[in-house]
Amino acid sequence: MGDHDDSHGNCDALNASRRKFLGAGAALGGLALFGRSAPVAAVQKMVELPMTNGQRELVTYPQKRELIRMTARPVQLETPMTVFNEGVFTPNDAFFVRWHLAGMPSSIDAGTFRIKVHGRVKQPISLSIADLKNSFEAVEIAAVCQCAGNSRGLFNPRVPGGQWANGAMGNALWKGVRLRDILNKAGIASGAVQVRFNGADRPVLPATPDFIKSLDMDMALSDDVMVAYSMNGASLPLLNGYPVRLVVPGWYATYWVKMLEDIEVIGEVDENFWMKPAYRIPDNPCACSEPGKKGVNTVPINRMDVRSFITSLADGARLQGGRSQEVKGIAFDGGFGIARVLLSTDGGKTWAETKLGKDNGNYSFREWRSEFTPKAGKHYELASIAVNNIGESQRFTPRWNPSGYMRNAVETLRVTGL
Amino acid sequence: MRKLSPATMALAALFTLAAPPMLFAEEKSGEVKIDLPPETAQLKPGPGMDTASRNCKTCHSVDYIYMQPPLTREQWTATVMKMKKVFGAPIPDNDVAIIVNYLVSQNGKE
Ligand code: HEC
Repeated sequence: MGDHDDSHGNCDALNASRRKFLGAGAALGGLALFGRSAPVAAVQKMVELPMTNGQRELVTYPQKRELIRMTARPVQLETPMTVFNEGVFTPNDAFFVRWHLAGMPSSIDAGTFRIKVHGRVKQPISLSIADLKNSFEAVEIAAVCQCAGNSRGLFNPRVPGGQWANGAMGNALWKGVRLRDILNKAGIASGAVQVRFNGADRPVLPATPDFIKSLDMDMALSDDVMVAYSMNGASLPLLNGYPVRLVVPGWYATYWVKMLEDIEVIGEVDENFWMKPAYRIPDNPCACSEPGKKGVNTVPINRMDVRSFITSLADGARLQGGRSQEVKGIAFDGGFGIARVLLSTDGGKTWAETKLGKDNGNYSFREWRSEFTPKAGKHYELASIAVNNIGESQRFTPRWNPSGYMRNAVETLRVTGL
Repeated sequence: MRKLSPATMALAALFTLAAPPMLFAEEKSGEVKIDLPPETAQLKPGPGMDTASRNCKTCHSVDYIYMQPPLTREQWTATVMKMKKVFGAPIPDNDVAIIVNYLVSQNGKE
C-alpha cells in the first residue's frame, strides 16, 4: 500500500467504540448547542470522522434514522458505514442527504406537483405524478447514487468543500419512467443539444445561481436514465427529492436532480455555474492534477469509477485469535459491473479472490465475502480491491484534484488478533 | 402547490412528535411536510465575529466554516471572494479583511 498515513484508507466512518457522547453545552470543534425552538436533547451524540475537524453530530431527521450531520442548513447528512453491512440496498431512512441551497421546500404536495417539459420540443407538456404512473411504461433499476465529493475529507492535501468520509453514497431500487419516453412524448425539436434539469430548491438570495444540471442529448436519451417516483418500493423521503428525482445510473449524484420540476431541452452547452466551473474534473485519463497547478483543462464530471469497501469490520477492531472471521463488503462502479474483488490481510502484499454475492445489475452495489483467521497478538492491514468488467481497478495511490472528486483508492483498515 | 391543509399539518406534526418518522400521512394524500431539527453550530467568539456573523449566516449554517480543514489565509480569502463574487453575498469591501482575519484565527493554518 505504501503511502497510507492515519488520515488515509480509513473505512471507519462510524466505529461505535469511537463514539463520543458529550454533555449539552460542550463546545467541540466550534459546535456548541443552543436552544432555538424546543429544548434540544440533553445529550448530544457525536462521532469523529477520520480527518482533522471531523467531529460531527448524530441527528435524527424526519423520515430518517440517526445519521451523521455534516451541515444543518442546507441539510447534508452522511450514512454511517455500518449501514452498508446490513445489505446491498441502502434503506431509505439511512440514505445520505445532500442539498446545495437552503431554499429547499420542507413541504411538497405530490397531488399538485407538476413537471414541465419545454424548450426545444414540439409540444411543451406538464406532467403530474399520476401522469407519470399511468401514462408511461414503468421501469426499475438498482443503482448506486454517490456524491462526486464522497470521501473528500480523506484527500491529502485536504481541499475545501463538503468534508465527507465514505458515507455519501447509497444503493437503491429505483422505479420510474424513462426520461427518453418523457422527451419523446413532448417530441424533440431540431437544434437540441442538451437537456437541463431544475428541482424545486432555490437559493436563499436571488444572486446565488440556482442549482441546475444538464446532460448531453445522447446521455439523456440513453436506456437507463429515468425520472423516479419510487425508491426501494416506497416514496422517496422528502430529503432525497420527493416526489420525483432524476436517476442517472452510473453517473455521480450531482446529476440526480431532486424534486425535479423542470426539464428543458436547450440548444447550446449549458455553462451555468453548477456545470462550469463547478463539478468539473481535469481532462486527463486519471482526472488528476497537482496542488497549485493552474490552467488545467476540465470537463464535466460524469461516470463513477470503481470502488470497494470492507463493511463488516471497523478500523481498529480487535478480533478473537485462532477463529475464522468473516470479512464482507461491497463493490460498485459506473455501470460496467464488478468482475472480481480481492482481499489482502497484509497491507497489499498478497491478495486472494473473494466470493461475489447476488448480481442485482451492473449499477448496483455487489456484495463480496471472504474469511481470514487472525492470530493472537498479530496486527493485520485489511484492504479490498475491485476490478470491473472492462478491467478497470481501484487506484493504489489516491488521485488528487482541486475539487476533491472521485476518490477511489484502495482503503485499508487495521485489525488486531487477541 | 406546496400548501398543506391545517388538518394534515396537525397530523404531520403529531407524527413528527410521537412516531418514528416513516409514518407520515403522505401515502394517502401525497402531502409531505417535515420539520427540520434545530441548527446547533455557532460562530465562536474572537475579533471580527460580529462582522462574520452579519455576512456569513444568511445562506447557510456556520458548520460550513468549521468542517473545513484548517485553510491558509489565501484559501480563506478565496473562499470569501467566492461567496461575494460567485454566490452574490452582499459583503462590503471593507469587511473582507476583517472576516478573513477572523476565519484564519478560527480555522487557519500557515
Ligand atoms: C449569498 C449566499 C452566501 C453567503 C452570504 C455566504 N455563502 Fe458560503 N456558500 C454559499 C453557497 C451557495 C455555497 C455552496 C453550497 C454547497 O454546495 O453546499 C457556499 C459554500 C461555502 C463553503 C464551503 C466551501 C466552498 O468553497 O464551497 C464555505 C467554507 C463557505 N461557504 C463560507 C462562507 C463564509 C465564511 C461566508 C461569509 C463571508 C459565507 N460563506 C457567506 C453561499 C453563501
